[in-house]
Amino acid sequence: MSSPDYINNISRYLLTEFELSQDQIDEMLPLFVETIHSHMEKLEETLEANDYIAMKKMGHTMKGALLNLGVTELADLALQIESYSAGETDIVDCEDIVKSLKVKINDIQLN
Amino acid sequence: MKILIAEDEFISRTLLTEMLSGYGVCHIAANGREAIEAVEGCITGERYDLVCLDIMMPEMDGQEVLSKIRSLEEEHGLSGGDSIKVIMTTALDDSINIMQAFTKGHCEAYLTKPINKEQLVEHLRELELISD
Repeated sequence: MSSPDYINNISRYLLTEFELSQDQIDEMLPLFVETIHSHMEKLEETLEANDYIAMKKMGHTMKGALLNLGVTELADLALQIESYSAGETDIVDCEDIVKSLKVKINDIQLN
Repeated sequence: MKILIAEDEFISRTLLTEMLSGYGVCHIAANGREAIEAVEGCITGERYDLVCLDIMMPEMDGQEVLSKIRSLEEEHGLSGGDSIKVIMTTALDDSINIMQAFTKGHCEAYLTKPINKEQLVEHLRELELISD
């Protein structure tokens, strides 16, 4: 999915699910996009620091935000990070999921 | 209606505020400690009619905030119609959290993200916070 699709899908979701006006959406979208990118940076930092508790918390935070934007495909990836359990999930797999999420989050860009 | 929205995440907090601002005055708490301070600060005066409470928050989680709200009410002899209506608004959908919020915390409702506006408004009606 290319970046305009994400933005259009989020706009449509906010319009239909939250009954926001186009003016409200236009005002909020830049802040929401900035917030999602900021969450992604923090998630990467937790992984670099091998802080798996913080990583799971950040996965949870991102899951909630992405669900509320209607981006369920990405929320599913965030859920996998939140669900990481040492001994059950290989951290290498988790790193791959974070990388995969980052690629998709990078596609969420306003023109 | 006086509403407190306790949510640490900006997007969810903004959307909840937008949804509820048409029904009353919304105050914001960005973590659990701020939430309980806000509730405590007006427990003897113009109390919150509704608290929307996230669970996983920094400093104090929503379950603890809920428990403290109920303790404050007990201390001040508030019960029945005088008690604060609490709706959990969380991305945690496991049965342990749901059970704890209802049985120990006596929350009025438990909504999981994505927050659905229709569901939220329906709960406001059921709790007689708004009329048809």
